[in-house]
Amino acid sequence: MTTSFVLASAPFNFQVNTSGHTLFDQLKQLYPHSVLQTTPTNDIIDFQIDFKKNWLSLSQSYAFKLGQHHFRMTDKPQLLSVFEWGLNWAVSSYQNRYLCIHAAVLEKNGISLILPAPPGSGKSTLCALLMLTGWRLLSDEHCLVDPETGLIWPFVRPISLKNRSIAVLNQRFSANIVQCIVPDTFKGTIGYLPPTAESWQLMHQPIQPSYVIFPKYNADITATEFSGIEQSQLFMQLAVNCFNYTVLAEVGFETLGRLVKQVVGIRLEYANTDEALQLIAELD
Amino acid sequence: MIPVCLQLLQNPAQFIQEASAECWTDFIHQAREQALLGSCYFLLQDAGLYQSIPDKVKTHLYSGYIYAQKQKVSLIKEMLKLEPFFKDAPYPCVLLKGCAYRLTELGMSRGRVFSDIDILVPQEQFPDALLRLNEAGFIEFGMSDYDRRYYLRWSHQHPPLVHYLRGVSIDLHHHIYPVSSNENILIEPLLRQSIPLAGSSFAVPTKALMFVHACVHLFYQDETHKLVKDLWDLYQLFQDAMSEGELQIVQAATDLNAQAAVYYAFDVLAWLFKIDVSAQAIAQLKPFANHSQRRSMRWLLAQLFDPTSSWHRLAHVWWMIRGHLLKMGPMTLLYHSIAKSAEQFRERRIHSAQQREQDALTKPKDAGIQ
Repeated sequence: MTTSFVLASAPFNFQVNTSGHTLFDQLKQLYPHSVLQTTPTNDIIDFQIDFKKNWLSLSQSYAFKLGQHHFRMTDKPQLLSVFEWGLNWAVSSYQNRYLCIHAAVLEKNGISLILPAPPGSGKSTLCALLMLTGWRLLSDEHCLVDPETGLIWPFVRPISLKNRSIAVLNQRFSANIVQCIVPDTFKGTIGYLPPTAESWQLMHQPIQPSYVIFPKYNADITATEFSGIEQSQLFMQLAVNCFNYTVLAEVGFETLGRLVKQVVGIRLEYANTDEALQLIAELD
Repeated sequence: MIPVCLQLLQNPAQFIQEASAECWTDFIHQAREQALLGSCYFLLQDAGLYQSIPDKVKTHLYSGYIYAQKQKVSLIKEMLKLEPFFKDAPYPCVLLKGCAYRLTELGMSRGRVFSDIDILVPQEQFPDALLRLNEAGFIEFGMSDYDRRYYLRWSHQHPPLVHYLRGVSIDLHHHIYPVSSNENILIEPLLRQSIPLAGSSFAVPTKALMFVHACVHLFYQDETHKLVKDLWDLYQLFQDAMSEGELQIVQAATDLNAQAAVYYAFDVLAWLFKIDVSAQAIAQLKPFANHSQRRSMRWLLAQLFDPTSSWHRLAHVWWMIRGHLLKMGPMTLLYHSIAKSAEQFRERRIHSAQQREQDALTKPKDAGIQ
């Protein structure tokens, strides 16, 4: 049996057809009713996704497909994680309306943070901690910069946490704050932290960029580094963290150039998480 | 039922006036599948209609436009890198399809995307051209022994060559149609009539020959996944070729011995885009077209377009068998079908075993909540 639903996660609407109820039941724990809709929408759908079992195949694997474009096969226990990766893949691969930086984005009292970082640097953990201490989440993965206005548009989705990060969050807050644990993915164990109510409420509201912070958790250091980055270096570091900088070519260069002039770049290397959070809280 | 993407191409103003959100959803999906987002962007800009479409649709058309622009720059850079390797080639090196449309600066190439660079050289000089491409860094990557034999023995091109660093793919052709075919498409006129690009080692076909090649590509092949894109190409190439005169098209069809393909193209374009072709041109081409297919081509395409038709799947199967028969003839097709099935079965077993080994290596232990 096929379950159909719409994920109206601005600025993109996804129409999803999947076999059975498993995926939909898991997503209900992570997305509010206003975003995860079972009734047909009157709005235009950006991406039509099939995530179904192949009835001709003897295996029970599900295939994530955007039209004829195949992303990945997976078994039932990992449906959720492959689905979330699949949405990231669709946006990263097929939209060039925005300059898309691989970064978390948060906002509080008009101050915004862009946190670009390679996997393993603790970006998502820091992003989750900031959100749970009052920052509004715009995205954990996609910083969507509008080339026309320079504004950053939210793409609110659950925060994906890996391995040790899950334990860190559960210890700091409550045992079940990270939900839908998926073990044995190729990235290890994955869990999801639902965005706060404020993040969902403001999911259509863009922000002006203020700070770009490159976070790096390093348990071996004794003193936290919180230092500025020169504009030229900031430009290059952001460029290598973009999904579509080279595709956007001149538009990408202009957009990133404007962004770099608007923000303050900071390098943050820390072992003491509370100190890192305090330093960020003092930004104005 | 005409696909919504084709409906927009046929009459953009009317489509925009009448389209519901559901229509636009289908349009985005189909245009992305057919790789037509960038082409539609330019179509609507040229018609002054771009500002009348919903913002959500603009997002995707603009994305297609940006991607095509990037590909245009990449192509030009790639061709500049190839130039020195073909500088003293004493034979015509003719660029085909998307690459030729782009370097001829045809209007239809704006926003159009393509997957590889196609180069045609005379068969006698094929080894020399291959050597030059190898020296430029283009080499063969993973292909089964059977597939490789298939390319070299029956097809019209070398197995795809990929640049070892840049990943760019080149198809080196000695013909535009498989040599295993009984259709006897002629290639020498295309090579002979090619037009050198100013300041370049490469040449391009005349507009009429580009159109005839596209007709052969569409009506003598087995694939249907880019049908709307192929038809839109054909319509635009027809308009470009007509600027040189209808006689040139008929002559090009005759030169390549591809009159039947051009007849089907005229017939289908008259149906879908209301093109105007003289009765004299039709009369010259008609005797070469298959009697039953003359009658059935429109009907067959209509079934391919319409997923709700009870003939839809059968039409796909028929189109595939027809294309294969044209490319190979019945005996080669029979041999190929059996050999290819056996090969795929063997490959699947090897691939499954390799995948299991790889999964075991890349699945880390649970390092999270203990």
